[in-house]
Amino acid sequence: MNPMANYDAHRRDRAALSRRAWIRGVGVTMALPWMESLHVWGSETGSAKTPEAPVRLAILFAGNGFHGGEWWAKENEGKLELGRVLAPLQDFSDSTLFIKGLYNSEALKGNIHSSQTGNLLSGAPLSAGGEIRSGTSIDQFLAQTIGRETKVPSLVLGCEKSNPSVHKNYSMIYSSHISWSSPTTPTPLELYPALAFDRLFKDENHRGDQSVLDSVLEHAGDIRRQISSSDRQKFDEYLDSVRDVEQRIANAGKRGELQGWKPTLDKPNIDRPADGIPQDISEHMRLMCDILVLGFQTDTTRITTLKLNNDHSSLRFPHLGVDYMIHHLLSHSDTEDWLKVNQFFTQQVAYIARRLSQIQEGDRTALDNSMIMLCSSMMTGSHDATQLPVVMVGKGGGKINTGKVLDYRQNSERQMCRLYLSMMQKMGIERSSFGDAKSALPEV
Amino acid sequence: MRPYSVASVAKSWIALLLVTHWLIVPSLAQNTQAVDSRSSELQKTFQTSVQSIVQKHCSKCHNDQRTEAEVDLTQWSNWDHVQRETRSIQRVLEQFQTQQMPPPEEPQPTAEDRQNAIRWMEAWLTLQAERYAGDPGPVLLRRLNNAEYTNTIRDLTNLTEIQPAKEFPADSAAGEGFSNTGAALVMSPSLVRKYLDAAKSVAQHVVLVPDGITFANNPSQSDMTNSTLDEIRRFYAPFSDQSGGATVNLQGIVFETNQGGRLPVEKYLVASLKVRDALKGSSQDAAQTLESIAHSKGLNAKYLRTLWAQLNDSNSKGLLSTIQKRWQATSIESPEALIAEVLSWQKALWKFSSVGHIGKRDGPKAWQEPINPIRNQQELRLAIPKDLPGEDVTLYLQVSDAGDGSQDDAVVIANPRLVAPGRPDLPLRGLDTFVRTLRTQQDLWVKQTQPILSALDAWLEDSQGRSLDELAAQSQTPPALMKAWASTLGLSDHAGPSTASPSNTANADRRRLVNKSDSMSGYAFVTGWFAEEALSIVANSSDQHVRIPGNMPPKSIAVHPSPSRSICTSWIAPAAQRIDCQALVRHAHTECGNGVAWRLELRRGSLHQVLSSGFSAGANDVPIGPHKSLRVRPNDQIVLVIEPRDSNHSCDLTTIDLTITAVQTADSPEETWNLSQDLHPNILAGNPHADSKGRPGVWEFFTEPALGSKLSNQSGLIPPESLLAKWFNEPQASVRRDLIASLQKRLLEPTGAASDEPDAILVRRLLSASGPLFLAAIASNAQPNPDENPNVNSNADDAPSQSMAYGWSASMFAKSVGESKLADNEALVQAPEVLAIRLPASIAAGAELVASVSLHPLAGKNGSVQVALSDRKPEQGSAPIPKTDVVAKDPNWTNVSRQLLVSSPVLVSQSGEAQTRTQESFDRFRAIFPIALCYTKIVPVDEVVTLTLFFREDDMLRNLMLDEQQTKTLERLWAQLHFVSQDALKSVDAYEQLWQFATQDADPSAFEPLREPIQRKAAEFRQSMLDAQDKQLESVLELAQRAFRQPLGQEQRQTLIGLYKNLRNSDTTHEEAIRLLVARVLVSPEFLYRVERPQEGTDKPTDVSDLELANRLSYFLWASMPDDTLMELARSNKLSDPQTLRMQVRRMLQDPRAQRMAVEFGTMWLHIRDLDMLDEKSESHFPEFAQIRGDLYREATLLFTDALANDRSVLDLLSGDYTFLNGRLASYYGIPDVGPADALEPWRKIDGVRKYGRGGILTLGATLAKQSGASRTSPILRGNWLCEVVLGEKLPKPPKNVPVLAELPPQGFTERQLTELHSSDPACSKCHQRIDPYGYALENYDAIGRYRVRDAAGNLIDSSTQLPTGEKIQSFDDLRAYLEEHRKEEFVRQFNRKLLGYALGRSVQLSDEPILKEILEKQKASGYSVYETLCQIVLSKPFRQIRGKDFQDDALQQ
Repeated sequence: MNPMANYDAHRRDRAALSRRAWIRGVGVTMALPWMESLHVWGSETGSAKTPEAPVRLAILFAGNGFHGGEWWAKENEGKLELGRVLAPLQDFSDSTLFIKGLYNSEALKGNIHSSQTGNLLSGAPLSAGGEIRSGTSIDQFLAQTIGRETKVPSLVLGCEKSNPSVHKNYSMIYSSHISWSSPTTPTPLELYPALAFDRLFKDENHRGDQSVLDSVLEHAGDIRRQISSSDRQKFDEYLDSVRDVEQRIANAGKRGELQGWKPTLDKPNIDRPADGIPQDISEHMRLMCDILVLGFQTDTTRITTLKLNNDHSSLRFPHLGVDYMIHHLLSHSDTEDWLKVNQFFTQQVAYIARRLSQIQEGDRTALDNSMIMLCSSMMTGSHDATQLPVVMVGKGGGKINTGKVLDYRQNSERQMCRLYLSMMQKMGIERSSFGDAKSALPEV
Repeated sequence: MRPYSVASVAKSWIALLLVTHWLIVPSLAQNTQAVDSRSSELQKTFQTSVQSIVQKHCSKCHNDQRTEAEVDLTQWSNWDHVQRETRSIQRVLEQFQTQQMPPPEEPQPTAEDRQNAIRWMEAWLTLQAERYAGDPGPVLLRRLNNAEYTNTIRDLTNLTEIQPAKEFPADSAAGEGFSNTGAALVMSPSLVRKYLDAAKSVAQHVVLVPDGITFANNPSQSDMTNSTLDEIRRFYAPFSDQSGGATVNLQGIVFETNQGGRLPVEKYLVASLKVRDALKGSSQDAAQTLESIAHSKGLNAKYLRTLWAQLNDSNSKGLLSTIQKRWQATSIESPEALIAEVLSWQKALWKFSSVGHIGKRDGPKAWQEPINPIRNQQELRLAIPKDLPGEDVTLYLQVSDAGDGSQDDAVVIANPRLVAPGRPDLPLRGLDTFVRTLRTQQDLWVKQTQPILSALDAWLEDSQGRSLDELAAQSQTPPALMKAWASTLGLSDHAGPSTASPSNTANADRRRLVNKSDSMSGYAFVTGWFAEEALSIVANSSDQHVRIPGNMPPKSIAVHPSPSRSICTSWIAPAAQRIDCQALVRHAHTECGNGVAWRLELRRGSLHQVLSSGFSAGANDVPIGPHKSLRVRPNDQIVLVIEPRDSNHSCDLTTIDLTITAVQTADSPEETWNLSQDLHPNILAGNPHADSKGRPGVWEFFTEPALGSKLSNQSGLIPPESLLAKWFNEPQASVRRDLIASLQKRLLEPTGAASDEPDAILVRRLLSASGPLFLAAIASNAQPNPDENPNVNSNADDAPSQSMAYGWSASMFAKSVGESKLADNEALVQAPEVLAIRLPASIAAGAELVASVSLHPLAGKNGSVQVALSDRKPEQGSAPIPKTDVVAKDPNWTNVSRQLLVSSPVLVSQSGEAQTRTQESFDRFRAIFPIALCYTKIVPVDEVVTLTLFFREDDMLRNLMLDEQQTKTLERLWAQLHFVSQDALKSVDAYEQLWQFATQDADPSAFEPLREPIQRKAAEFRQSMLDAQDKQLESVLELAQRAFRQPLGQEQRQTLIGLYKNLRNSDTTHEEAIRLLVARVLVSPEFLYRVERPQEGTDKPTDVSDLELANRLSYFLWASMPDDTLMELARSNKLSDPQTLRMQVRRMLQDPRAQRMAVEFGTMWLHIRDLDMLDEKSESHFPEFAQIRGDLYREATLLFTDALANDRSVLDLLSGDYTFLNGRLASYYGIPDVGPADALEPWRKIDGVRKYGRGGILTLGATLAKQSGASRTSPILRGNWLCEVVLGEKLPKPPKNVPVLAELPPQGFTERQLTELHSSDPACSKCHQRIDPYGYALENYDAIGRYRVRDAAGNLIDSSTQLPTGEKIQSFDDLRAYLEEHRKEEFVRQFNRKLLGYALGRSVQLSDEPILKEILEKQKASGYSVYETLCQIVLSKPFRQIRGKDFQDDALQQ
């Protein structure tokens, strides 16, 4: 036997021992505010429920709406017929739900663009002027409730850098963020595929990191006491984040598995993407889609938002031969090129659907166990948000009746947030209200 | 494309509001009473008229049931409520002013009502602004944005290139559109993770140094070591000279003594002469003159002062006094002699050693070491050339006083004599008599040649038992002469044949080989005899050709010489015979080496007659001989000598053969001996070795010192083909007789002296001082007579003449001084003196003049002299300067002993005080004239194997040149070098390795003295590392204090120390703990956030602390942490003083860091941030954009940087007639004479650019490109940008349902026509009329900012338009003129507003209006000075104050 092996094991034991002692000694156990009410990792109450694959939620956002004439779907002899924008989803039409007429009333107030996106997933009013205030978005709400059952509560991905300006008294921070972890905190988007990959799979249990973060928290209370009450809110944003990371390090490797269910993949089956942001937008989007799928397949996270571009986006699409106009300006014309660009976005949804449909999880595919929503902040490039384009792919664990068109245009209660309540139900969360909605959509 | 279309609005409400301020508010005086009275007046007005207007026209929709647009105007019925409704009043005012409300379909108020309402609302808002003027406003806790974070880390660590925020999410903007507003600076777990990773990567740049920590771009040990080394060398460089060092060769490694560290002594000597002349006859202060001349020449003042003092020291003694005298006599025009003298003495008194040997046993102590060319005794030697032109030669002995006066300088010259090999020494005393005697006698003895040789001829045939003396007697010849001739011929005095054993010949260093080797290279059949260093003779007894590794054919013999010795193979004649001999030599290592030298000799007695000689290299056989019919006598030898060629014995294996054939005579048959045949079967049988017939002692193998180039001196007296050789070997008696006669004749008439003909050579040799005649003369006691010497030639001033005597007069010798009498061969000389020595060329040629010199034990006890021999007459008053040379003795890498050779040493008596005196004199010289100041190489390269990683020798530099501060710096650098390189620890391992290495093939004990110091230093270093740990921890705490930008509280301190201790307790190394601690500092809230602490217990604004003010100021002007100056002012509470603040603003704007404000404020304001990365342009339309965008961005940032640093007018930003260009951008813009079209540098301010359509922000390529589409211009974007961003107009919100254009625009339309088409929709046109004209005026710039007169399709550009105010303009020039004339103030206000918002990190609010007004006033008075604008902002209350902690939301909070 290798004489060093014993020695190494001994070293490891000692290190572990002293680390444990150290954690005890420091005695920092500041509970996370949202942790008290949820079943955390390693839940030991032996649930008798049949082990089932969990439901995953992906929300994809495209800015500036879609082609006015070609965003449609209709039921035809029990089959879903798709307009040209949605044509890439044709293979999955049976798993697709096309929803007409939902809207976000708060987005109708205020300015165009800059105040039409930041509340899309929360239905919250947006503050103008110097203040930044929206509402906690559906994905982050879920991340904060059920997200801790996975290593990463949620992924917030993006393919376009946020816009650092103020437009008509509204910060463009709104048009750049759909995901908000608190009313004042838009969740920073991860633009780097490699870093998103790391977030899912890199072992965060780095020696010393936890000690450092523990130490940061040690006297934070002193500062907190000395600053103004308005500053305290910002400061708590920081402290909560530090605690979150610190907890995650502490819990690394200790995560409990769902009883009886194992993901089909326990580690990534693709290489870590290269550092930096890919020059080519199609490659960028494709990598982000791969990471989204990988997160679901390995059950590293169950909630992901992918912001394909900004509202008021300045992306160009040379690979489609549409190089003469940026996305936002293109959206003001219902041309064939605009359609081409729209299809490129729906292709990303189709790609995810295809990848998920190829993963068999018991009787169902991962696509059956998922909900992929594609939406935008306006119907078309004309800033019209009185109804929003919404399409969903996936059966939400078999609980969604797909292959249909739902039309709420005549319904007086047609808030987007009703859909979010429905989604929560599929993920096991029953709530009486969310945002400006008081009930779920029963048809979903 | 119609982004906007809405009913037109005359003017923005903000603009109106500002104007109304002018009308309504006469003064900003904070008169509470006045405010209160106006407030109650306005209350009355409201209640009497405004309230009813609002109720009548607004409350239908805006009531508590139906709060359209979140506005409930029923609240306005309650005055208390109205007072808190600032925000809704602002919104209602805007609606009233723009006539958007009430909606057109509803009943409208009368014009008068509307006016009244507007006027009231304006007045009320003005009053509110005045009431709350100076409110610090809601400034939310700010995280450092990415730029600030990066800048702060760079300033904190001096890591100028680091990009820690590279992969952070982009910052967002809020407030006035800048990314330094707390609300937009969010935090999340993933961002914390990124901050932690970034902090850890920054901490990887930490380098531990003895006095703390520092940061390095490349923190690896080797990089740090190298950069520290470079730093030290850079420190040394200015003091020393790069050139002028001497080349020294140590063990074959050549290096310059100076290595760049040489004292440029010439420059200082010249400078000292300059000072001397400058002070001559002037009353100038010496110190001042020294200072100024040192300064002007770039010399070190301290050293020049020291040198000056020394050269002017009236107590100067010894050597320095000599130099001083020379200096005084030297004119500045020709300092060469002075310099040469100093340089020569430097070389005499210093030596350099290889650094690698320092510390070894017997090794040097330093690189530059003093040497004392002082001796008690000196051996004088002067070699006299072989070929001398005249009959006589005169040499000179110079005795000088060694520079300290001639007192006590009595010198004894002992045994002066001529020395030549092969003859007795000839003393100078009595030489004259000897020479004269010799000349007479030699003439007589030459005539005796024939009788003597005839007698010897008979004696050789049959000696009849006669001795040589008897033979001489019988033949009536002088016996000494007879013996001399016999000796020349190699014949001994013994009767009969020579019986001298060959090993007893004259050569004492002849050694027979005695060691046997019974196999070679694994071949048992290759055996032989060997000695040290590969010296050997071997035989291959087999039939195989082998390589050992040289070639050995079957049955062959091979030999190998050593570097210094030859290998000799000898045939010893068994009987008197006539023989033929021939030999064969073949270099056996054909592939390598330089071959060997060979000789075939006949040896008889002391006669070594070279038969032939040459070299062998390469694969060819060299046949030697045959030499025929040689007469040998028993024990005569034929010797084949093999020597290394040029002392290089590598690859010198040589196969040899030797064949001797005895000629048949009556007495003996023909017989042949062959070396290889006789030896190859059994070479080991013995040495001497028998021949194949078993006759013992025929062959012998031995070794002698190699002769090399000395061969020609010793090649024997008798050339093989000369008369004498012929006579000896000739069998016919009659022929022999004739030969003797011929020789006698030649000797009597010596002709052809220079001829190479054998007989000419023979005659020369016979008549020379080593010839038989001369030897005989000496042997016959014809010694020089010491008492007969006619002249006393002590006076060397007389030219030597023919009449002058040879040698020295007897009167010089055996003198008495007091009781002490000198010996007969000892001369006494008193310095200074030059003695001539005349010698006859015949005996001087090729000889050496030798004498031993010392001071007289009594008369010279305290004296010091220098003595030199020369063949040239020394100059009057000159004194020799010692020359020293260090040579290695038997060099190898463990043995370093060296020998100091000194010529012209200073002689002192062993017992006197002169030795000390002279040494002190030299010490004083060395103290001021070192050759080298410092060893700038530091890393020793002069030795292959060394234990010294870094060698420091700079004490001379420190003593002579450095001041205290410089010394400190140098010490710190060295400490750092040792620390980062850890050389003390590395030396321990290196030492062990070296020791192991040395045990294998050398003497490791040479390194023994190094063991203890190395171990001690390692222990000390370990201790110093431990000692440094506390300092390093302390250094992190200092870093924390700087990083937190405020004094470190006791608790923070304890927290950090606690973390360090915890990490150490959990098995973390010190270094890792320090790094984690640094990371901890960089993720601390105090670092990441700009924490400000409001006053407790009040709701009133209070001044922020000076430290907080310092932070506000530096993040405003530098977007980074405060520097030491600001922190110092803040700590002493001086910063808040208005004058101090103004001065700091001035200072900070001129600092390069102000460029960051140009980016953070300037480019953000203009919406061109990061334009250098803008990726919105069509690559097919504008492939060139990617290359130029960086230049466009640079131009914009330079425009702002310049405005800040050089205090331009704010208006210059709008329309200054200049811009900033490099060659490439100038070419892009079509502006001539700036630089080559590909020049990236330099960037210059170029004036007069209006005529090229440039100047100010409107015509920056950056703004023009940004406000364009991907492939074409957009007059709408540009117009909208000009209105909103540049002029601050508030345009109505665009509609939420603009018409979508389904069709492609008609072909051939210009961009302008497209825009006009889009804006022609009646719903849009009113608004677009306010926007588009500005864009049309800019149509001469394409979508990437270039000037154009035609568009891409070739259409002429039309930039004429009608402005919203009705003016018709033709071009951008007209637009600029319009803006300058009519919109100047709006532009300045917008600039101020944006700047204030940036400075405060929040939106500008109503209560800021009075400040903006005041700024404008001050600006007008100062010509719109940018500096003044910044000062006004910095001095304003909101910038300097913070709301009290108890502040509650009120009407002002929006």
